[in-house]
Amino acid sequence: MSIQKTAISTCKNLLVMLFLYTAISKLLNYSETVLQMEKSPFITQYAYLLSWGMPVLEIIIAILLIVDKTRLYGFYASLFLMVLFTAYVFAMMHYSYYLPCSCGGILSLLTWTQHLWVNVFFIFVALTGTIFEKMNHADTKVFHVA
Amino acid sequence: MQTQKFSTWPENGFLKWLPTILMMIIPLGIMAMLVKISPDINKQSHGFNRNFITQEPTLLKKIPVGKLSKYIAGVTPTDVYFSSMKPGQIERLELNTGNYSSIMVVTNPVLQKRLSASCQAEINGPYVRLFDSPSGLMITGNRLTHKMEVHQSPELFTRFVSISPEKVFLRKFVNGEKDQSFYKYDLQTEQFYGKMKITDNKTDGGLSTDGELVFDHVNGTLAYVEHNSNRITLFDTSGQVLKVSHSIDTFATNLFQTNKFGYQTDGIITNNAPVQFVNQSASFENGILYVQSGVRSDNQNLIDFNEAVVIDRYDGKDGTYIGSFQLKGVKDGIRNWVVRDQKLYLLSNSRLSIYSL
Repeated sequence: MSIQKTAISTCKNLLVMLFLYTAISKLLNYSETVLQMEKSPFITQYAYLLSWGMPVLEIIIAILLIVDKTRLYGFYASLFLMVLFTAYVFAMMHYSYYLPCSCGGILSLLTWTQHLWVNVFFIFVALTGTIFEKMNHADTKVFHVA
Repeated sequence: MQTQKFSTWPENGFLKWLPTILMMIIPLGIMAMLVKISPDINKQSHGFNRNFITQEPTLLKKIPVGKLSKYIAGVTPTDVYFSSMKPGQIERLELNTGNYSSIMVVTNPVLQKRLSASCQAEINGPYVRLFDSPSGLMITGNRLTHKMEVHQSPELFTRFVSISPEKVFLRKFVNGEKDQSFYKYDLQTEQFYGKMKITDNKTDGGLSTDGELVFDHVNGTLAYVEHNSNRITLFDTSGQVLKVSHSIDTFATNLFQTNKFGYQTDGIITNNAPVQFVNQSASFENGILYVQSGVRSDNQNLIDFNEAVVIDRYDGKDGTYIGSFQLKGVKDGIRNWVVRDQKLYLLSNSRLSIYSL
C-alpha cells in the first residue's frame, strides 16, 4: 500500500470513528444534548433541529467516507464540519457570555481550550485526507482514447 | 476504443482546490453570521462604569483536584471541601499536601438512592450538611462524632444556607402558591418559621426570581442576590430585611422570559434559552458582598468581559458599591468560587486556584 493510500485510510478511519462516536453519544443522551444546545447563545434557536440533525449528518458523513466512490465528498464534508465546529468553539470561548457543553461522551470531559485543539487536529486530519484523496482521484482518472 | 489510465497530478489551476478552500471559508462565514445575530445584552452599552481596584488579585497557587469535585462546599484553614458528583459523598483537598480524598457521608444505601445528582454539600466546622433539593432531604453529619441526622422538608427547596448548627434558611415552594418563599428551619424542632416574601411573585414557581442565598458568618447577615435582575436583599438571621439594594448595572427588571420554559423528558422544568444572568454568583464574607456580574460596563470591551470573571464588591450593611476586580483567563471550565479570609477560592474543571485579595 502506498503512503498516499495509507494516509487516506488513516484519516478516513479517524474521522469515521470520531463522527460515529459523537453521533451515537448525542443520540443516546438526546435530552441532555437538546438542553445543552439550547443554552448555547449562538444555536439556541436551532437546538431542536441540530440535536437530531447534527448526529444524522455525522452518520451520513461517516458513510460517505466509508464508501470508496463517495470518499472525496466525505472528506469535503468532514473538513466543512470540523472547521465549523472549531469556529464555534472559538466563538464560544471569546464571544459567548455562557459556556455550556454540547459534545457527547468523553469529549464532554474536555475544557473548551482542549476541545479547540482536538478540533484543530481533526481539521488537519480532514485536510490531509482531502488532499490525498484528491491526488488519488487525479491519479486514477480514466480517459477513453479513441 | 482504447482505455488509458494516467495521472493528471500535479495539475495547475486554482479551480482544482476551490472546493477545499470553500469548505474552509464557508463555515467561518456561517459562524460569523451566527455570532452577529445572536442575542447578547452586552453588545450594547448600559450607561454605567466599573471602578476597578488598582491591585489585581494575586494568584497564590493552583492545585489539581479530582474529577468528582462539583462545587466548593467549605473552606477550613487546612482543607477545602467540595460537593461530590457522587450523591452522599464529599471530596476533600488538603491545602498543604495537595492530597485529595473522598469521604462518604451517607452510608445507608436506601438513603443514598434517594439522593440526586444535584445534591450539594456545605461544611461548617465539624458539620457536613447535604442538601438535596429534588427529594427535600437535609442530612447533617458530624465529622467528629460520626453521628448523622436526616430531615425531610415537606416541600422542595431550591436555595439553602446554614446560619448555625441547628438553623437553616431555605427558599422553598409553598403548597397552593405558584411562587417560592424564604423560611428559617429549625433542625431540632423540625419547624419552619417566619415566611419571608422578598422576591416578586411572578407566578412561575419562583424561577424567574431565582438567585444566590449567601451568609456572612462574621456579621450574621444574609443576602439574596437575584440572577435575573439587579435586586439584592440584605436581611438578618431573624428574617428582618435590612436593605433592598441593587447591583451597579441598570437591569432593575428581569431579563428572564417566563414563557420560555422548556420541559425535559424527565419532567424537570428548565429554561429553554441561554439565560443571561445579571448577577451570576455571590459570596459574602466579613461585611463585603462579592457578586460576579454578567453585565458589561461601558468601560470594558466585550471580548475582555466575556473572557474574564468580573466581580463587584458591595458593602454588606447597606449594599453600597465599593469597586470591582476581574480574574482573567479562568472562565473556561469554571464551577464556582467563594471568598474566605481575604482569599478567593475558584474551582474549575481540574484545579482549585487560590487568590489573595
